[in-house]
Amino acid sequence: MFIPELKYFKPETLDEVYRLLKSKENSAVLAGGTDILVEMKQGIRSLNNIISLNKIISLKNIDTTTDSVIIGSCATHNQIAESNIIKKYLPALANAVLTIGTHQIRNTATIGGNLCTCASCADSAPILIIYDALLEIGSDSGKRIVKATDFFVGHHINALQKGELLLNIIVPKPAEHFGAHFEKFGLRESASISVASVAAGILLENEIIKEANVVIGACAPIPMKSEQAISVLLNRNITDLTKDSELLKEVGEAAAQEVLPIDDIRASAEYRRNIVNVLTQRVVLKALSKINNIIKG
Amino acid sequence: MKKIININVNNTDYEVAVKPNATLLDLLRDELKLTGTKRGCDAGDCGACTVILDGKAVNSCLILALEVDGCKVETIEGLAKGEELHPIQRAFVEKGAIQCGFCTPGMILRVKSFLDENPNPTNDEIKKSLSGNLCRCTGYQKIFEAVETAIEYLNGREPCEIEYQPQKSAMNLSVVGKRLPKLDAPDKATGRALYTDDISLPNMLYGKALLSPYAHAKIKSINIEKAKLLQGVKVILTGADVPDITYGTSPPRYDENILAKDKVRYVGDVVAAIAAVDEETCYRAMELIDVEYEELPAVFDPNEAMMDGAPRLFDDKYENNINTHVDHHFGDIEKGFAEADFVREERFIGNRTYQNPIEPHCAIAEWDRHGRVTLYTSTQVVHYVHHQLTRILGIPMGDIRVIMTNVGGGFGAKAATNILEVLSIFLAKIAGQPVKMKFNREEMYLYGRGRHKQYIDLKLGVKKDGTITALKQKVILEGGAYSSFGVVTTYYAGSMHATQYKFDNYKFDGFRVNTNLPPCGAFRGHGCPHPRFAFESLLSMIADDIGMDHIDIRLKNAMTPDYHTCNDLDIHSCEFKACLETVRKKSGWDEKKGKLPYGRGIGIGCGGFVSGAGYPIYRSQFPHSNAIIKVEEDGSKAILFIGDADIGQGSDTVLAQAAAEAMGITLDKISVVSADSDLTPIGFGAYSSRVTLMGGNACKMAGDRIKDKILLAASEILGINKEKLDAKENIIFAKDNPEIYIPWHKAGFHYFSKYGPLVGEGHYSPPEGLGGKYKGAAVGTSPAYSYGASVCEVEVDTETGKVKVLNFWDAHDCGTAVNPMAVEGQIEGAIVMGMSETLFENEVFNSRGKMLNADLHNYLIATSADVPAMQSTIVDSYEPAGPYGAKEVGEGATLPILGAIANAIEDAVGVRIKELPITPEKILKAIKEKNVK
Repeated sequence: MFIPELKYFKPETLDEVYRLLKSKENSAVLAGGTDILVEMKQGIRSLNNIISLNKIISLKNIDTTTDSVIIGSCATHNQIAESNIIKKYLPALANAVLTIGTHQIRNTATIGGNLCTCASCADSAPILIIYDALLEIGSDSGKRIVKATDFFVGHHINALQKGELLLNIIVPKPAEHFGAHFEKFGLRESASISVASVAAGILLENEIIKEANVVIGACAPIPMKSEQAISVLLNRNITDLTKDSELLKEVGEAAAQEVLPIDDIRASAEYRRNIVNVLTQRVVLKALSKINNIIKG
Repeated sequence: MKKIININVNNTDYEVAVKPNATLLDLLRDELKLTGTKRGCDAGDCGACTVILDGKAVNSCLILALEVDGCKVETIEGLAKGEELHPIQRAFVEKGAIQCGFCTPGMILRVKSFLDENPNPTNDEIKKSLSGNLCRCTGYQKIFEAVETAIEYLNGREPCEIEYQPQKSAMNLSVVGKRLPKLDAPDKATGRALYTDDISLPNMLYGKALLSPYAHAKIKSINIEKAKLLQGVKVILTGADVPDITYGTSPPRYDENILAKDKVRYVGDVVAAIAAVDEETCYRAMELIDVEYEELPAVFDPNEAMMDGAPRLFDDKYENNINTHVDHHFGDIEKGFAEADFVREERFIGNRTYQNPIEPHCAIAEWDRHGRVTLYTSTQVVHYVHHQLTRILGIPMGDIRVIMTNVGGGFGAKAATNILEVLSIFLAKIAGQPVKMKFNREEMYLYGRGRHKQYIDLKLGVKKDGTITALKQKVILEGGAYSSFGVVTTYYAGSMHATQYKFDNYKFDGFRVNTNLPPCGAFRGHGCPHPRFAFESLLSMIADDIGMDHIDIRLKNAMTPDYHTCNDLDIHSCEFKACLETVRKKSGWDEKKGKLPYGRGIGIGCGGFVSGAGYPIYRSQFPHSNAIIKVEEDGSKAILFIGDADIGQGSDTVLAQAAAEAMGITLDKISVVSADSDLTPIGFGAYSSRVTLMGGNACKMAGDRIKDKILLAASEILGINKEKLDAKENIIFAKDNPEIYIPWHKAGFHYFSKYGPLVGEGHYSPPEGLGGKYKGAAVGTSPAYSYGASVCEVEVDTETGKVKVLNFWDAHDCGTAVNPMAVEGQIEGAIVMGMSETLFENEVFNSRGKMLNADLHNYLIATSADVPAMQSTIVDSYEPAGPYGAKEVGEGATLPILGAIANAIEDAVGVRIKELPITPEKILKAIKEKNVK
């Protein structure tokens, strides 16, 4: 358990970051460090060069434009949870990041780190997909935007190319009758890794589900959209979608059948399917209730 | 290349050079020598290293020091203003929120950052806010109370005083029976308390042990040449360089080499040792040691290991890998079952759990020029380490000094001589320099000595009225690679059934089996929790079979005072029935049992333990506990020298209370020096729940002798016959006229002036002839037994199987509680640890014997957010063999918990889980199977 010798760089501009990313072999950027430092101590990763993003203040901002919320990749989880902007426009994200790690971890760990580490159980990922988040990626040759869904390539593999850096998470402000929710299932009340997680988003038009999205975490190498569950939900009337209703059960069942869980030390694949079934039903109802609140409010 | 940073720590500016790979924790501890910030897991899971960075609580182990250039850091050392404690520190001290103290600095800083942000939180917010700081001792309850009290102080209010009803046996006592803060709490609250890793000796080297990557392999060769050439490496030792002597814990089974001689028996077996200028160099040297292994077939399941033809761990002993076999038969088992109206047999399976003290093991060895070695170590058993070292080193005890520093929790993990203690001494001898060795969290798990996983076949016979007629138990214990405490564990797995309930016919077969896994040892409740879980589960099952209430069947068979058990153990005080009646009433049992809605349930479990083993783990005729009290020449203070070890449970304070009561002084007039083999007379240490009774008796005797002498001095001053005087609360007075008195210290001054040193000695040996004559009769003997009952209320999510423990009502018979606040701390800690073991904890290995969750990230222990509401009651009791009537609490309180939870889950959802841990997955599976039927 020690961090091997390394070179540490603390660039003050993005251009400098890009230059270092390109020129330094075997390097990685350091945001919060809560994953990478553990991996280095455990010898899972050996890196010669660490490029700190500490001085790139612009990456720590949370801001809005007319249409979108812009979250800097170096915003910490607690910063996001406490942000009035996030609470107003993306309340389900604020709740989701509060389920990550411990308070101390959330004070350091960043949303960009959570996404780039790209663990199958990353708890910020499913809800960002629900919110149709776009990821802004920069390099010395300019910027490009990828959909959150396209960012996750495999367990611990993201879409960044060498020399690229995740700059911002751009989340369109949700429509008026949209509701979203995220829940994870862990084995203790706090600070546990997801056995499974589910995020759902629903857009209503006069009690009819016009758009729906269900994303499952920790049950496949990457967060997984449940196309089956979505198709069950689309164009249905929400009066049919009550607790214990056949329709709701169908949604849960669809999600459970579609995921690709594995057996590991936390749970068996079979149990994970059970959890996905139950969580999906609960999360869909919760997402709906959020819309109702908006309508009422 | 070091870089310069500027950092403000506790309002002092520092300009320091740091290496790029150093963390903020390294900077604070190693460079700035602010050792109040603790290293618990080094991976962001335990929170012991919490500091406040620019106003926010962070784990300093996961931040590079170079990242904090220009930042402001608050550590525990900056909180108090001189001698005046910060209100949070004060509250932690006063409310008993500090036991071992290792999590305390991080915990207090987290509380500070939390209250800075949220000055008036709800109870639920408090509970959740602390979940990033693991505490293994307190069960968090007293920490919550401390936070509530701190809020009052911070708002300029005085917290309302709670009236506590003293026990009857403590009514006329002035120090014993009082809720007094622990003597070491202020030092622990301020980060001043030194743990072994906080000590740095001049010219000190660091050592590491190279561990086997294979579960079972022959060592064909070891090449250390490349490693030796690495700059900074001072010494490398392999099996060829150390004596052939074996050591261990149970004298008939000393089977561990200092370093592996020709083969390794588990992933983690110790192959080589390195001393170098720093730990980093040790790690790099380890990679350069070339060990050629020939892998051997390995066996991990004890049931398979027992079969003919299974791979053998030891060729020359333990046939069929059976390390220990117990065959006990008391009464007539056939007759007993023949008399039963109902018989039921079930199989229960335990789990492999690890104590996980928050402080990792650490030892520092230093030799002097006269051939004498001093060892600083984090141990529960200074004098057993002392004894073992004299065997291994072949030098007299007088040439070895073992000093226990503050210990950050043990629970059995530190109850025997460990490899760091031995290797640091060998390395230091050759290097001619002090050597520090410590485990990281992974190495702690690999070194093991946690709970044996037990496979239990239990058969119980009862009459229609619930009377137990016979009990038959067969247990297979998964032992791991070496013996450790395992012989004793195997006996304990059987012997303690007979102390809890009365029955005459008992058959016990126990097999401890070696497997290629980390060795198992003694963990809180030593050998008993799994059999207790099995018994409490089966008793409730059979009660349902005969339609009897679960508490009624326990009352029917409950142990009573002055009883001789079927396995020849003698029970004296026993208020088990009072415990049962108490929890029945307090929990609202009669209104709830079987009447709660589906998904909610209530269950009972019982347990108890020895108050110290009747015979010591290593054979000797020495008294088990010994004390010396020396009064300062001016009579101002008494210093208590006691060999027993305060590992956080608070024994220094409790023993000082017993001594102070005897001497007639208040607790502020006594100071304690404990567990230093040069200074303190032998005490067997902190295991088998022995210290309060045994150490307490030794301290009381020493105190009584001081009192005798000081009354003599007072009688000379006052001109009153000694027999007519008494001492209490620092005053010596005439019994028939308290108006005639002198201050205690004046009599002390007089005594010293006239007679020389005012010293009193005390010792304690258990009564002779405890127990029967059969083989293994010694295990389970004790001067006294504790009793307890717990009712648990749970809520089960019937769709996921997840359990939320809502409430625990516990009643414990610990005789006179010397310090009721400390007793509650033990009970609450035991409840939460027991709950954590029952619901969360399990070591998992891959098919080649490598542990998959050797960290605090994947091996889950209970956080503050998991804690139920707890209400503990100390029942009125008096144990004649104990000091002022006291007996044990620390281990006995764990035992009821497992069965209580299992029974509550059964009541909630109608399924019986017989294998630990009781995971949501097992419950859901059982619910589904039941619904299909």
